[in-house]
Amino acid sequence: MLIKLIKFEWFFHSRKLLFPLAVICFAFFGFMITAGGMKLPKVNSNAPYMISYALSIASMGAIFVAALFGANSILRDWEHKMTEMVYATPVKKLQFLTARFTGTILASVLAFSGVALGMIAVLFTPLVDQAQVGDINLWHYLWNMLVIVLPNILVCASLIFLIGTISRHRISIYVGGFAIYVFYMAAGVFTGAPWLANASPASAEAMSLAAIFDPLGISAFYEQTDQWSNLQRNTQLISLQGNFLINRLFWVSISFVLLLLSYKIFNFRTLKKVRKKETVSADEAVTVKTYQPVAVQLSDRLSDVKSFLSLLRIEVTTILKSIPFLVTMSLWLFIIGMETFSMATGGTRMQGNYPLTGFMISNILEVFSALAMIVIIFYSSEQIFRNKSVQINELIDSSPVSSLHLYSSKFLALLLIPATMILLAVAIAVAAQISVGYYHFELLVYLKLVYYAGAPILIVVAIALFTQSLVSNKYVGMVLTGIIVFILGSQFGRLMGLEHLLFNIAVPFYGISKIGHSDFLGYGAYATAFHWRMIYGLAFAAILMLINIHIWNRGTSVSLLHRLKLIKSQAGNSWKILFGTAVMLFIGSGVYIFYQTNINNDYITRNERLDWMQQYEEKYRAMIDAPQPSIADVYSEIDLFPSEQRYEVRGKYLIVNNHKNPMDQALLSLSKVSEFRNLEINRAKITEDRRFGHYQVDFDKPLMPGDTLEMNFSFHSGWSPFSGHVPFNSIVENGSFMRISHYFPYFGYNAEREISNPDIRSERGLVEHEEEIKKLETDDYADYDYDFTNLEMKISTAGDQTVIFPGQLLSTKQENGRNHFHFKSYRPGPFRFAIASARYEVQNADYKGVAIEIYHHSNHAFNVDHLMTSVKQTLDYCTENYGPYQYDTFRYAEVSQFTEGFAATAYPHTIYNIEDKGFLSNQRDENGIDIILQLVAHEFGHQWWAGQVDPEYREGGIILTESLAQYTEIMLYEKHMNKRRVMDALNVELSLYLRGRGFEEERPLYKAKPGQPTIPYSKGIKVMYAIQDLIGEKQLNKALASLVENYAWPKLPPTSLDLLDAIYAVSPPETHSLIDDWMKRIVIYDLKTTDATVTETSDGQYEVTIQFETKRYEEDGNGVAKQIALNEDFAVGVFSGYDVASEKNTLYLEKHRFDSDNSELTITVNEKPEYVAIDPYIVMIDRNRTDNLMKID
Amino acid sequence: MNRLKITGLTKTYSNGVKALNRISLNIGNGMFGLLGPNGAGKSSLMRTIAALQEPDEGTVEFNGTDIVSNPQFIRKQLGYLPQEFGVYPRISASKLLDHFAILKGILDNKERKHQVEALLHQTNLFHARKKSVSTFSGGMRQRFGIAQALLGNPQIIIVDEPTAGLDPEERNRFHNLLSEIGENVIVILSTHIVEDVRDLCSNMAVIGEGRLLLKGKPQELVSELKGCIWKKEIEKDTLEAHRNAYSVISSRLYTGKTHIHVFNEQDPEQGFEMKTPDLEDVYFSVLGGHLSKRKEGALC
Repeated sequence: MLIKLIKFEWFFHSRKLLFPLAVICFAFFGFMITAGGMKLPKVNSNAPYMISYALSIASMGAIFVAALFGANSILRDWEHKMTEMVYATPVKKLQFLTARFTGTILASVLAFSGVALGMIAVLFTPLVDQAQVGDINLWHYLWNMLVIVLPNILVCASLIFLIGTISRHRISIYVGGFAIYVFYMAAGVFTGAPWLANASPASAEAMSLAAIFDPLGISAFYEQTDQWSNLQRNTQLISLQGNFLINRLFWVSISFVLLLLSYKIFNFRTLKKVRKKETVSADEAVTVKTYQPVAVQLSDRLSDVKSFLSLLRIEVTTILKSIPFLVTMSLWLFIIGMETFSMATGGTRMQGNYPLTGFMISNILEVFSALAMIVIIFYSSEQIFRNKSVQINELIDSSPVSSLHLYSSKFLALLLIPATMILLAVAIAVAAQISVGYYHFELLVYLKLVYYAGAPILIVVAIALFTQSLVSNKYVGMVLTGIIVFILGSQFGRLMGLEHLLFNIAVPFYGISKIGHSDFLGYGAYATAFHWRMIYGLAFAAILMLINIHIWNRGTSVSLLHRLKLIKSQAGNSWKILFGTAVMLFIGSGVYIFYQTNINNDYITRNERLDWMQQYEEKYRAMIDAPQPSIADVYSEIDLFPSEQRYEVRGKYLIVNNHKNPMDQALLSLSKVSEFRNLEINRAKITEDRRFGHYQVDFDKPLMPGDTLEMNFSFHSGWSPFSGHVPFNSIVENGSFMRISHYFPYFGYNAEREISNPDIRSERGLVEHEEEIKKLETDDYADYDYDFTNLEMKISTAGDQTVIFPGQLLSTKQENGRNHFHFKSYRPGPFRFAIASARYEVQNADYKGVAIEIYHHSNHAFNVDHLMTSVKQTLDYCTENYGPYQYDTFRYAEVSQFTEGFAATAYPHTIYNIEDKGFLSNQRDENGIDIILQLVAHEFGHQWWAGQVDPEYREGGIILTESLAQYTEIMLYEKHMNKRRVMDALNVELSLYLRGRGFEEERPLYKAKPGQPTIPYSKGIKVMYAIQDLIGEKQLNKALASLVENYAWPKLPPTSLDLLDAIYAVSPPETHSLIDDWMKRIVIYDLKTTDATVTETSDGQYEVTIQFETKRYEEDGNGVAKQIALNEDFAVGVFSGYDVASEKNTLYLEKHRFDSDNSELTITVNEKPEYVAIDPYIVMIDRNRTDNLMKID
Repeated sequence: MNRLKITGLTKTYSNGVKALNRISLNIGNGMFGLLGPNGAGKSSLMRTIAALQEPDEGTVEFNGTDIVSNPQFIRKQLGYLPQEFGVYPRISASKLLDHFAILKGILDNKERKHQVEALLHQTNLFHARKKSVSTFSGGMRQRFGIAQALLGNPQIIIVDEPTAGLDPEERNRFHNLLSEIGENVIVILSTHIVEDVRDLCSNMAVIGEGRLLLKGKPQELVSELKGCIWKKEIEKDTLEAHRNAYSVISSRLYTGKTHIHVFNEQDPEQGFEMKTPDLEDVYFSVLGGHLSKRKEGALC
């Protein structure tokens, strides 16, 4: 019986259109995620890890299939009024429900297996690099389906069943499903789930908690594989153990509990309750009126308004009263509330920014579009097919009401939804601002939101209504609308290759311009491009609307063709005029956009760009080692035109042959965003290669060693909002920042123009270049030349702006309404300079002979005092410990968030800091991270570590700049913050390091290279801190000071080995091998407190006996670890409370020597101990830092 | 005088069903009965007249205007009650009727209120006017449908199986209302209940499988059949034999015995009695195909 029932269920599901549709959708997803999704270098596209990854990410969609199939399963009797027929059969409740549920699971799992099919299918296409395809092992897919997908579908389906049994309402099921999805995402955002892009590293504790409670087990998958090497990723299946096993068991049992609940609640064959009859009011004395035909007025205007309003009222009330609307709005409140409040208050550890209205609207805009779009797709189909589904359509359609009213009432009612969403979001945003005591509400900025959010969604509504009125099946309509709307109205279309703005008809602002709303200039020139795009899109919408009114489906089978034919005979003059206007606007704006994108700028698709990069490499790579002249002097005049997004440069180089051999020719190059107006080199012939911006320079007679030549040039640079700006060339209305040396002419091959992604490289058949980095051991210092340059710059800008440039300000003047600044470098430096220009306010201080100037936006004074203090503190620390500061000025300038790629960046005596990455930080929580001190200490540290000690580009060079700046940062922290904050900061770095490796062969710290930033930054800070802990801060700083003294420019620069030598010189010899372990090897610790007992002694003291397990491992760089012996000191602490950083809690803290895997210590303390720990502050690189601390039973 | 002229109307659905096959009719004021079994194409024909679907071939003209190319023309003068319809949930009868009245163009608030109330009375729904229509029983809902079809000043009223689900009293009431209105406008009434047509319609047509099988005035059609219908009471197990031997047009059980009517131009003898034909005999004769060879005016 049961088998037959299940067979019927399967028959039922598989025969419905939904099933093949779902399979196709999932297959498409699998196809796309493998072809275009996450790729890890050296991990096969079909590696077990990638299969787990794709299937677990895809299983977020499980809730949707479960909802669709589940709703069909559980509701079909009620919906089709079959209940009485079904209940009249002898089937038992248990059988009935089991069959229905099994059917749902079967259909969902089989539909979901489309993902695997798609993932396998894509392996046979050229979209996947065949070199990155391992053997196809079906078991890998099956296993992941079994342990990841099946339990997830169980959980989702049982939830859906419960909702279904309680509500008996299809829409509640959908909304419920959607709600679960949103809650899941939200919980992910809130807890910093690992599957989110840019998730900040979670603490190990949080991770293991998430691993257990993540209903889809994704966090558990991440937790288990977090530190896997490539070898493991390629060969190892996720195993049912640890938290992953707990998670699966936990959630499968939860789903059984839910099912049991549904079983209990499910009403089977209980009789309908008879509704109490409403008491019929005693007939009021009414006079019976008799029916008389009444003349109708159908042509005057009054009718227009009245029938429209009557329709609108019905449409609006149905939406307002519908449960899904209420649920969606509460969800929206929930999402936006969480986003907004967490932004306003900051996360748990990271301090948030002040809730500027600009942040608020950017925040809202980022979430709004996708959600509003989904809601519109759903509701447009609901509203369009509503008359049909309640079967009132023939009554309405045959009435003389005009289609214009039918259409526009639905249109307006639909707009009501996004309008409500925007209104709610603004209310929430204001509430969030108030909640943190921020009262600067900018009404105009909120009004902007209405436009930026509203215009694209209005276009979406028009497209959705249009598409749905073309088809007669509700679900086909919904799917078709979904596809069209997502192609025309989201980044999806762009990802599919429709990159041209002309296709992005309804793409929201953030779909194209990833720029925050800056206080300096709002959305800047991007607003203009958006306006044009909206004219284009709204004209398109108007065309659709005008056609839609006429092809409005009135009736049961009026063909589209027939409706289109009717337009001709029925369209009036005003319609024709409107239609003509819309078409003209559409074409006109389209032409303008096309002109701006393709003719005024070089339109280039992603593929064309890759072609260009490849061809560049193929053509010029041979010249990578060709000797090139150096630039000894730069003189230039730069005119900035901020409001026109462009600048003009006239300049002169003195070029010199710094090599030992004569030079016949040189390769001169100019960035793609600059264009020469003029270029001349004395006694040389220049041949241009326009495509690549390269210029071959043939000297009339060879340039002899030491010879100089003069080069004169002028060029211009800038950007258009239609093609986008380069973040380091942000010449904008206000708050400009240009790393302008990048856009000056330079000599030599530019390896940055090569395709760097190894997958794309191998797809295109490009050989993989080892990162060209000089070996640490190379001994060629005799030849070394810093190739430093002297700068002299005359810079002019708008009359109300100030220019910040790393050089001595010789003079300023105002002329012709423009400000002019004359700068000259104090001393030669690398060919690397930047310009900021903005309307600034400035705070000055004179501290120990240094003029400190902080330039900031007038509304961004929040942290200026704190900045000033931090600058002084860092100046003190560095001059005391490393050596004197080289300049008498220090400038700290804020730039707009149009610049991206760093939080702050250091130049000689100048630091540029992006507005939302420091200046606006709300430093409320005194236990949170002090981003200001971190930034200042790190960047100011670079005045020594890069500014003075300027290592060569070779292995390990980067630790002399970044690891030492990181060290400066943590030492300032240690000096001015409490222990807890130091610990927190170090733990973040530890997580970053442990998680950031494993993607390519790891180098030991002393041979670190810039391509693996977690090594010099995160491991660097840990190791430097540990060395400081080992030999003492004073000693280490002595070593660093000697480095400055012996190797600062103009002396020859040091290598990482020189740093090691300097450290050896100040440390006891017995520590050297340990320092070597940290610097020259990859050594990971695993320290653990395994047991602790306490006994009270007779004299009121407490004797604690602690068992430790201390292990350390050496890794080979590819994740293969082997245990090595240890013989070193670790701190051991006994505490009276959980917070080991609290001095009050610390009963005992001493270093002890450990030399075996297991050891025992007995410690006597005065107070009752609660906790014991080994290495309580996690100084070591510990692969599991949660087990260091243990509570005493 | 209104005039509805249907010429050569043909409609084939995408699933291959030929719902209408070259139907031509010419209808003036008064009640027009459209008889036919389930699936004969009655509803298709009515929907086509109501401009809810377009024909593949043929024209529908109302008062000289082609409504296929100008659907709005007939909508302005149409009262339409489809065979099945639903309503929005949670909206009361009087509100919904008011909504329809506005859609139909009754803009004067007083007039609208008056007509809405009158119709509620006329359809015996006044006591339930504040209840949501979606909670109505089948009969009440049907009456609501009738009420909305009569809103305004319709010149052509199309009612598809209007009396299904009504009790005899209400059916009577409805018939009276319709025939009253039907004096000055066209009322097309589709049904498979022969009695309805007999009681109400001055003109009628029978359609089957999409074809027009017969049209004319009921009395005339009946009188043309005079002398051709014979009846007999038989044993149930001889029914099959009778079917083979005679043109049996209908058989029914009456107090346990089977009564059959046969169509025969002469007395078939064998215990048959002549029967005065009624409209039902006409209907079944047509459906049985016995009248297909008939020539105009002479049946037997």
